[in-house]
Amino acid sequence: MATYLLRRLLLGLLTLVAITFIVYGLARNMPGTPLTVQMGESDPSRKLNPEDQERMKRIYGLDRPWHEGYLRWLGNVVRGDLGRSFSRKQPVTTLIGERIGPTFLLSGTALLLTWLLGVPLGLYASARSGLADERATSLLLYILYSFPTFVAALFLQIIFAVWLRGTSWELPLFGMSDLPADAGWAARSVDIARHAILPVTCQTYVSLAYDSRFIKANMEEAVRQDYIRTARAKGAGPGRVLFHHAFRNTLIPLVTLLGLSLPGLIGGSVIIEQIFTWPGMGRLFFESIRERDYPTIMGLTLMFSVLTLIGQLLADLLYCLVDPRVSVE
Amino acid sequence: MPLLEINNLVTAFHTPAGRVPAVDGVSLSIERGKTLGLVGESGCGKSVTAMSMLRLVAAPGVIEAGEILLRDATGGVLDLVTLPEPQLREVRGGRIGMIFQEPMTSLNPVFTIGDQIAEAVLLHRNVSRAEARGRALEMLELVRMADPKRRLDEYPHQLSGGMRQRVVIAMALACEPDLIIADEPTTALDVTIQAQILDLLADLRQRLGTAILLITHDLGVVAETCDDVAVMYAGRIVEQAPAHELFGNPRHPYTIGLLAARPERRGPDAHGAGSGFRRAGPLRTIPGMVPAPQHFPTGCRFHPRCAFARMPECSGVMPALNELKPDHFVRCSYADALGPPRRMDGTAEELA
Repeated sequence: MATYLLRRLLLGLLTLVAITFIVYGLARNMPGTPLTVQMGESDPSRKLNPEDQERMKRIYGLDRPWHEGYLRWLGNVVRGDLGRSFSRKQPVTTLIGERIGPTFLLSGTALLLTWLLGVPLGLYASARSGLADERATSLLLYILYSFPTFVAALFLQIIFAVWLRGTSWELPLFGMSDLPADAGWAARSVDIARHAILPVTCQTYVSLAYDSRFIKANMEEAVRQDYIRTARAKGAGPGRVLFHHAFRNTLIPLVTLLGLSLPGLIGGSVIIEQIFTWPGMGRLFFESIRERDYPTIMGLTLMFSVLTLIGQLLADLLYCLVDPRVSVE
Repeated sequence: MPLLEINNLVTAFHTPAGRVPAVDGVSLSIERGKTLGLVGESGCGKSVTAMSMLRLVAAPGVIEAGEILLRDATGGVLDLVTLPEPQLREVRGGRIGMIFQEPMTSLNPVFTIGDQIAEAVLLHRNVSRAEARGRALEMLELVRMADPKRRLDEYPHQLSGGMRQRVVIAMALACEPDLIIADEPTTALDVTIQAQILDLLADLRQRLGTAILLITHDLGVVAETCDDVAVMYAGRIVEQAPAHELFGNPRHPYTIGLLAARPERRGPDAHGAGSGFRRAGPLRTIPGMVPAPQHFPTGCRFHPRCAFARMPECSGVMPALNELKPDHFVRCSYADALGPPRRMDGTAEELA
């Protein structure tokens, strides 16, 4: 077990170096630099004079080739320093710390809802497979699955923030809170919850549709197996056959799915956070790319990669728990 | 009174291509404590017959007609075709146990051997988990599993095919059923393991008095283990008789063909070369194949392959299953007239 974890750890570090190297290279070689983008090159009055540009370049380390920049970034990371954001004049760790809470609130709620609803829905669909109500449900889920979130988000905004304005159904258009920071704890919670309803809905429905269809497909695969016939021949009832014998076997692929959803929990959704102006990680990522804010891009990339690797490791360890045929040895 | 009686069972599959009657009017009866062999080529409907007996036929298969009567010791009769699901579940694994062909896949990979046998006990008996586990251990000892205590907590993938089949047998026998349905229980196993499993079944039948329906395509297995034999062809029983009668005096051309198609074993050959077994001449086969149910011929379903067929009579009328002599039933219009059993090549040579 210890050697297995050690091997995974070393392999993970190697993977991290490869990922960050590629992302750093891509980011640095994108057209534009923090200076051109953020200083408003098109506005001649705000254009920096050449000496200032050179000075800024030196400060940011942009006067060196990108692979040297990467090595310097890597060295700082090893020393525990993710650097300072170019555009926000703050340490990247502080930025991430500010954004992680809102994203976790949004994605955590969505993930919880997805699994709380998706598992029963998938089981229900496989239990009633082929019947009219299941077909209707599956059709609806399929439509939801193929419906893009950004379209759904706009529809929801029009319905709840525009058409229903002034009614008790009205929901805020965007943002996380309208109340000042010194408002009461209870009032703030209610306010944030009201703001979260639409983005959570958007983030939940697609993965809900995907997960329940995934569970149904795996259940249908499981109930075709010989051991299901054995269970029925033993005298097990339909409920026991489905939930005890079949579902226990679908846990194996489900664990992979769960592992893959871990990075999203902290990484958030770029599209949804952008549409709803939610102050989370996804939005920070989007903005840092737009501003060519290399330290922030790299900090976030590093964090997502670490989470992805942890998610995979967790899934592999959970495998051993749910499938006796798998062992880490 | 037989323990189990099947009357005119019809099981058909309703596929997009039409109705496929895999079992088309099968009647069988099994006496308490006896072994009945159900023999036939692949696709003749023997497995579907077995699955129908516990209503385990998967959709789109439907039992369309017939009755399956199960008698208990006091004379009570249940018709398994019409029995409501909850009562049927008491029969499944309780009064009728089932053994399947594929020991590699018929155990659930994520549960331990002990749990899977104990489940059968818990489903039918009002016992505690600990008692059920104790019963599981007893069953493993009964099926002569090596190191049974350790096996209780092992998973199916840790066992060999033969050991898994012993587990399946232990599971089927855990509630002391009156009848075991064994659907090709040894087909997927090595020859040496086959013999062990057959010995075990024969031994258990003697000790527990369980009746066995043994489904197989292997006439050798039937000859060694069965009291009675039913031969199935194209969804119907074509001949049924006590084993010694059927092997000594086969009357249906299909049965005659099956027996002739067995590789005969002889000692070292005339030249003294080699040891072991040699076939006595080339292997005889029955020409043609079992027709698919949607293409069953009219009249006697065997007539297109039959060396004795008389046209147009044999293609016109489906012969009835007649009792040629006590306990020997044959579905052939000319069973009486065929004279002494012949080889399929038409020579008058007696079958050994």
